[in-house]
Amino acid sequence: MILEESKKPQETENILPLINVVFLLLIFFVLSGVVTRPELFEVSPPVSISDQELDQEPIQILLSKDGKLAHGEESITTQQFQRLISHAKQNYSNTLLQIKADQGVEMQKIFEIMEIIKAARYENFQLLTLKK
Amino acid sequence: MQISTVHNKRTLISLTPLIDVVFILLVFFMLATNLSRYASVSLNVVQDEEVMDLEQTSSIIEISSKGKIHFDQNEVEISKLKELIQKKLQKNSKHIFFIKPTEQTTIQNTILVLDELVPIAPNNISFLRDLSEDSK
Repeated sequence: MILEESKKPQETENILPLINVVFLLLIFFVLSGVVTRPELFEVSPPVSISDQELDQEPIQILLSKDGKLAHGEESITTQQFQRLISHAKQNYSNTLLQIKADQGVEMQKIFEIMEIIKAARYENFQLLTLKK
Repeated sequence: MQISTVHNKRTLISLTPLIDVVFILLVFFMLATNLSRYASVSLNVVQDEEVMDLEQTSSIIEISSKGKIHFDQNEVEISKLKELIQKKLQKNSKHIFFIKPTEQTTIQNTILVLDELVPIAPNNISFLRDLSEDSK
């Protein structure tokens, strides 16, 4: 029996479909995803049917399941949160306040936050949700 | 004069470094991108005590810590809630719906009720905070 010798150029050609698929995956992730900074703690927002657009540059506050607060990459206390939003309201009155709370957060914490927001003279705030 | 002959053989460029780079980019984008689709729910904070209109009637939607819903003290399924809200609105378009979660009710269970209310009565919703000892 005579076995044919494998030709070298064919080996290179076999990689081409792989490169195509990898390129397609790369394009998919580049176009459909948004590169985000890792957050201080993991927060999984509540799921909602709401499709209300998000404000582009809000003051975003993270609220973890155990009630911890964070702004940007820093953990903040309730007092710091109070000072932060009072300062924001006085200096940048049009900036929207956005709370990214975990779906397991108890309403007691939300009411406490609402009291602080009310004290800072904010009239409304956005609660971040995940689209269904 | 000597003329160099043109070589017919094609020079092959190695694709391995290209694949390496593309794979590294792919891994980076897979880890760094967020594919979640975010939206928001706007909540108004009332600055002064609102005076209720005399024409206004109201209903209380209680949400227990386990997510059970009571509409005017009758236990209802979440799927039936929209129907009850519509009936109240047909009788009086100014009907106010007070959402009363307990302190331990999760925000997800409250959002589920809001999802039923907001599309049909966005301006008729108010929150009631239960400060009684039983709720704690």
